[in-house]
Amino acid sequence: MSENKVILSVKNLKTYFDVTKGLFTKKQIVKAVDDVSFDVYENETFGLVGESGCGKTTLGRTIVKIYEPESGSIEFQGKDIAKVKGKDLISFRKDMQMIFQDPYASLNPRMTVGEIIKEPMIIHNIYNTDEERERRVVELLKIVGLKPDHIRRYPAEFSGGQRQRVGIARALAVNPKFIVCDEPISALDVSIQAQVVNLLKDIQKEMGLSYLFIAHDLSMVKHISDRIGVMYLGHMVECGPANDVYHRPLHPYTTALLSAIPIPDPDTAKSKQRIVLGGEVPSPINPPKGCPFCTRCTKATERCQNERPEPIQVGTRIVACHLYER
Amino acid sequence: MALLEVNNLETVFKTDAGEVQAVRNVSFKVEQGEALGIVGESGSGKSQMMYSIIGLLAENGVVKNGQITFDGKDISPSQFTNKKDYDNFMRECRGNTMAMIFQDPMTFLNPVLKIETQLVEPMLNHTDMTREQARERALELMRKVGIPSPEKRITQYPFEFSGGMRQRIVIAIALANNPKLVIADEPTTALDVTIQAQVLELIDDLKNESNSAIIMITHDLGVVAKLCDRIAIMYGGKIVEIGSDKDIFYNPKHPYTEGLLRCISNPEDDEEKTLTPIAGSPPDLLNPPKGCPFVDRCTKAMRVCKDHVPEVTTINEGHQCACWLLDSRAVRK
Repeated sequence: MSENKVILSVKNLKTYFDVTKGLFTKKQIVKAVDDVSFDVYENETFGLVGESGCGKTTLGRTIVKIYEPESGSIEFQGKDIAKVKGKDLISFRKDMQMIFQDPYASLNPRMTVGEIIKEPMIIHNIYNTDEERERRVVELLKIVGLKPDHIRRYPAEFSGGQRQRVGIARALAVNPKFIVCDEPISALDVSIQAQVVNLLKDIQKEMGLSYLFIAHDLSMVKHISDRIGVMYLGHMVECGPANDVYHRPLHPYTTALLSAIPIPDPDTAKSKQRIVLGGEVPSPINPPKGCPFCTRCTKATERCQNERPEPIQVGTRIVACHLYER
Repeated sequence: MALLEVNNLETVFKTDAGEVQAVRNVSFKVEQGEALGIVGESGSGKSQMMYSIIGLLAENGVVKNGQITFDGKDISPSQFTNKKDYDNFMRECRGNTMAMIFQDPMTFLNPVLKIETQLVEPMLNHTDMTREQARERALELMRKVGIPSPEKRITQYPFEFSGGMRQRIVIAIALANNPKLVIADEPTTALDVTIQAQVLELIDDLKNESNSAIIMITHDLGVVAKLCDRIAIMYGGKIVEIGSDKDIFYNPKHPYTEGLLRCISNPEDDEEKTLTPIAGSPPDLLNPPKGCPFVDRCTKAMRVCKDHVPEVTTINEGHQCACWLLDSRAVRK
C-alpha cells in the first residue's frame, strides 16, 4: 500500500465533549478522541476497531465534520479541513460521504428511494435536469443490487439489507473518493452481512474508493480491511497492516481483544486458552493518568500508571506501549 | 428419558395481515446436562419457539399444535383446561425448574428495586427459605458469578452496575433455584467483545459445575462453537439441521448451513477467504413457501423442493437434516 498516495491524514486529533451538569459544578470533559494520528491511503480500507465507548464513532464523525475537533488537523486530499466551516464544508463533503449503522434510522421514511438517492445530487448540483438524475439513480440502484422499479418505493417496504444498499447508493450518488462506514453491517443478519461486505469491496475496486470502516465485529473488519487501527478509551493503541495486527498483535489490549473473539470452529473454540480481561473500561471522564489500558493490563508496571506512552514505530506498525520502547 | 422433548410444535401469531407462522412443525430433544445451541437469523422463529415452550408468548401468539414434555410432565398448553391454569402452572416452573437469561439485562432487571430484592424473589416464591437464608444464598450466588464485594453490591440498584455486571446478576437470578433447564436468549449480544468473553467463560464454568441443561439461542456461530455440544439450525420457522457441534461445523448437510458457514470469516485463518453470501432474503412467514423454506435462496434447489416439504433424514445418530438432496426418492431435476 505504501506506493499509494495518502488521501486522509489525521494528526493529533482531539474531540472533547463538555458534559458538565448544572451551573456551579466542576467542569467535566469527556475526551472521546484524544490525540489520534493515522493515515489512510488511496484505494485502501482502514478498519477502526474497539469496544463501545472507545471513541471510534466519534472519530469517524469528527472526520466528516459532524463534530468539531478540539484541536489537531484532518488533512483530506492535501487540505486541512479541521477548521473549515459553513459553506466550504459542502464542497468537501462531495468527496467524503458516510454510511450509517442503522438502516432504519438513517433513511427518511417519508421520501421514496429515488428522492433519497437524488437529494445529494441536488445539494451538490451535479446534474442539470431531473431526467439525468433519474438515470443516474437507476444506474446506482443496479450497482448496489436493487431493481430499477424500486425507485418509487418507500424505505418501509425494504428489509434491513436492502435499506443498507439504499444508504450505500446515496453515499455513491455524488461520486465520492472517501466513505466513512460507521458499523454498516452490525444491524444485519449474518447471511446479509456478507452480501453488503462483498458489495462494498466490489464498489471499491470499480470506483477506486477509500473506506474508513468502523466496526466492533473483529472478524469482519479483518476480512475487509487492509490496515487496522485499534482504539481504547479515546486513544489509538495500535495501528498496522490487518494480517500483522491479527497474527502478531503487539499491544496487550490488542492481544486480549483478539483472544476474546469467539472462533466459529468448535475444536479451536473449545480448546483455545483465552486471555480473559478482568475489569471494565474506565470512565472517559476520569481516565487513568498514564497508559489508558494500565488498569486492566497484566503487564502494567509503575511507569505505565504515571507516564502516557507515545506512539512509536515497530516494524510495519505503530504502537503506543512502554513495552516496546528501547 | 430426555429432559425436554418437543414434538411437532406449531406457533402462530394473529395479526391484521393474517396468521404469521412463526414456528412450523419443530421437534427436538434436550438431554440432561447438555448444551444445545439454536442458531438462526432474525425472524427465523428461534426466540418464539422458546417462548412457546416457557409460556411467554405475546398476547396474539398461540401454540396451535404440538406436544412439549419437560422433566417427565406434559406441559403443552393444550393439556390445560384454560389459559389461567396454564399460566399459573408455568409461573411455578419459571424461575424454579426452568430459568431464563435474556438479551438485554437492563430491561430484564427492575430499575427501582435493589439487587437484593430481585435476587431473593425467586427463592422466596418457590422455596420455603427464610429471608435471611435467601440473602445468604444470594451473596453466595453473586460470588459465584464473579461480582466483587457482594455485601456492598447487593444493596445497590441496577443502574449502578455496568452491562457485563448486570448480565452476571441476571445469570445469578437464573441459577437461584438450581434449575434443570436454563434458556439463554442471546445472552451476550448486547455486550462488548471482552465482556462477552468474560460472560461466556462464566456460563461455560457454570455448565461444567452443575448438571443443568442449557439452550442457547444466538445468531453468532462463534458463541455456539465455544459453548454448545449440539446445534440446531433454524430457518423460516423450521429446524433444517440438527447435530453435534462437529457435525454442523465440519460436515454440514443442509445448503443453508453450508451457506451460513461460507458467510463468516474465521480470524484465525491466514489466507483471505472470499465470503460467499446467500443471495436473497428470508421468507415471509405470513405466506411461507409451500415446500422447503430455503427453496428461493438455495443454489441446489430441485423441482420437488418447491412444492413438497422435505422429510427429516438421519445422517448418523443425532445428526438430522431436512433436505430433499439427502432423500433418495427425490427426482434430481
